[in-house]
Amino acid sequence: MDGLQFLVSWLPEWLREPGRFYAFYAETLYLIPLLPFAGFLINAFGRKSISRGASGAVATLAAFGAFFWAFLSFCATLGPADTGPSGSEVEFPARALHAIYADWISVGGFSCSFGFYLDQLSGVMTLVITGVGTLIHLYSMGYMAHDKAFARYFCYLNLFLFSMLLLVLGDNLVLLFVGWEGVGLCSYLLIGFWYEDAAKAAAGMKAFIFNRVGDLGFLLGIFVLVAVFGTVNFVSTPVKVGTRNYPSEPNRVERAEADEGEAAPGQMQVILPDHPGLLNYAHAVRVLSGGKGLSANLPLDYDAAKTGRGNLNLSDKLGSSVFPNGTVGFALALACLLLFVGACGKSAQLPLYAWLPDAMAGPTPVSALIHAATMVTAGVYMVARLSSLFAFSETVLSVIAIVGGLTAIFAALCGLTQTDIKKVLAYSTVSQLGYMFLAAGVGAFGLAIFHVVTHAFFKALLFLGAGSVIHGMSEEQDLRKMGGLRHKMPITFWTMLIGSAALAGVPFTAGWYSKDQILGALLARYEHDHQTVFLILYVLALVGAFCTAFYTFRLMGLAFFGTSRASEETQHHIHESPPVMTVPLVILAIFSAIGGVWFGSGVNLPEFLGLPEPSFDLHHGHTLNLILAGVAAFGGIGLALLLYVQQGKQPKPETEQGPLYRLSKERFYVERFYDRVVCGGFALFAEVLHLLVDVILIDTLLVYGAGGLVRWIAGLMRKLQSGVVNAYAAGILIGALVVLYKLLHG
Amino acid sequence: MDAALTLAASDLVQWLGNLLTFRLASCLALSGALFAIGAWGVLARRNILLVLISVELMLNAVMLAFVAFARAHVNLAKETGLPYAGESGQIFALTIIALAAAEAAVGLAIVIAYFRNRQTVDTRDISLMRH
Repeated sequence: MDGLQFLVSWLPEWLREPGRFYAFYAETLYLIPLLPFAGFLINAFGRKSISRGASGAVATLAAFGAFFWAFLSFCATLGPADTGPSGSEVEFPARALHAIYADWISVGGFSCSFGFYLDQLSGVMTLVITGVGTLIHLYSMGYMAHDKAFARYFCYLNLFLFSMLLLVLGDNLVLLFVGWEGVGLCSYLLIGFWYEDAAKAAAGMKAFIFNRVGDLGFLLGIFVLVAVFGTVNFVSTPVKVGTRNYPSEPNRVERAEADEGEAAPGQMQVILPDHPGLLNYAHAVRVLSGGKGLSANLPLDYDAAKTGRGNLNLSDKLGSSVFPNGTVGFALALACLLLFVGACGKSAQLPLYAWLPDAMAGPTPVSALIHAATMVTAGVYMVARLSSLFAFSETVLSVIAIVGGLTAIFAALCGLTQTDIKKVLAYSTVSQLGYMFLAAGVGAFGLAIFHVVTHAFFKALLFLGAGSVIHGMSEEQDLRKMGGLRHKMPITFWTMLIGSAALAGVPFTAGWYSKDQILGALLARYEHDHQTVFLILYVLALVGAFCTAFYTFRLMGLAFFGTSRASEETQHHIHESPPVMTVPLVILAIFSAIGGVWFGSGVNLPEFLGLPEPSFDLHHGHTLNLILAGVAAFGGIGLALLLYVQQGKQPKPETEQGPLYRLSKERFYVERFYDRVVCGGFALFAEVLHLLVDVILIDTLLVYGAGGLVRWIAGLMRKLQSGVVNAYAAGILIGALVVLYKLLHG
Repeated sequence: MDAALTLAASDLVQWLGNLLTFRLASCLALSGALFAIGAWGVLARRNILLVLISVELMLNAVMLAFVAFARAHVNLAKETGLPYAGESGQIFALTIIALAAAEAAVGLAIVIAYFRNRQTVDTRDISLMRH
């Protein structure tokens, strides 16, 4: 951590002073999301009046300002301990910045505040989002230079950054969900950015609808958590002294004194802070049940925890009428599973992956920012944020691992044969997200976040490189019409080569550090408990790694090597992109090359990020995995170079291809299956409902029925309308008499 | 003769005095009779003018009842020493006079307008409200 201490030493002396340092950064956390929001407002309301240059500059500066402040705040979380409010004996190590700005929702016993929480986990995410975001904003100024809706584009992009930062910084699940929906909205708006094209607008809707499916699960998961714990906060509320925010006390664990509380002397005792959050509960249960790491598959029987090992009156605190005491473990597993459904939607995992490849309809920088580096990793972030809860259920973790593993291999196989340069990268993203969930599923949450970070570097780089190629090729995306670009676009070529190497897992690139460790974790997990499923997943992941290396270098071979297959006119126009686009490429290439070194240099990731540690030694079987993963990576690269660079092989027309190729090209007919069976079934169901509910129940029974009933009663009543004035007078008289009678005798 | 005459005169005075003595019951009986006659007229008459006149009769019956009650309050006040409280009856009577005038004006106007259109004032012919 010496490097971190070095970063802190940059801070001015007056801020490093205990008692001032912490509160200052905690209270100004709101600046990080506020800056992009201000940029959004300026671009939204000024898009008619400010110039294109100003519009792009405002958006980029807003992103950079957020990055700058996030960087300072992140340093603050690594800084010296704060002595806290004067006279306080508690020392606050600045592990996390936490500030609550307002009470937001307060209904009955449930309350939810509006606050931001920046610890190492959200800090790393924030830095990636704002850092890569700034570069992509800069790049967009070049890429979108000729677009007529320039300001609208930057307006959406800044709104996206704002939502994403809400998602990451929110100190409770509800705020996270607001950001979650916000990024979904921005994703929809940006996929359908060129909405005049019906196919692109439809792709936006497809993304939105697929996400709705996931979001429903996510929302239900939150409901279950509220039913169990009665709170949505991650951690307890900060102590507020005067106007200053200090982090609240964490759980205190101690041995009971002779006659203290309900615990017998010598028993372990966990003392929760005043308003415990989800992670406080998770920590308490973990400590009391003696669970170390993931090996404890807790039944969550709080009473047993109470009498057997320690004293924590959780059952009093969790006065849940929905889930009685014995079923809390089940409820928690259910909640995690439902949350994971949400993560599947947002992070494009099987079976909700199909929107991501179509999302490539948006502008390429959007694909880089939203559909590669940041938004799609929100699911991984959420799982990591609640990892202490996920870690309680081995079953849920296994489900996550299996879904992640299947997605990784499935998407990698699909990526092998795509001919659209962006679709190759899209399937690659789905596949890499699968690796992240694979890591989370075996319990290596730290590795999952590590892969999020490195993936953000190299995949953003690859997308931006692809954008540069598309820009130079006059909007051509078909790999079959490219070729020989390496001489005409040297910067794009070299930077993309570095990105490809990182994606393929060439040793000592950023991607190698993270992916190799994920594979290693799988193998170590198998060595640890000898469950066959992890061996199968390991083999699948290895094959996936081979495919990854192959399709990456197939892309490079088709685009940059051989001779150009573009039309004369397009060839004439091919040019290297302007510096505003190549500078971000170079910066990202540097990070893709060396970004893994710091994390890979023996830092204890789970400890640093505050995540539960895996129950097994990650480095077990390291050498074997090193060899196998290396073989897979270099095998894939070698085969691709052999086929597409040396032999100059080109994809043949689809009709001449073998069945396996067609299977991959058609994405295993999954989308056709969705189209026919899911959508068709849904349409059939809708048709049945239309007939039963709409036609028979509503139209016939309710609408015509109500009308008919009124008509029938009216037919009876109209007989009274005799038209004889005297009869009416008699009616009046009789009525008057009745009223009189009632008055006198009632 | 004188004595007889005197007797007769005093008897007459007595009788007249008795006759003119206010009796609430009598007034209400008269009012009820008038109201019943009016109601019968409204129900039974076919000529709309007569129906209107019957309505007037009913209104007058009600008015009579109000005035009678107001008068009865004079005696009540004398006997009990409580303050007189019969003004509202008289005010109601005045209101009814005004109302009856308005009703007659509107009613007759309708009848005239109707007669100009249909050349009839027989209620049996006025049956446009029939379904």
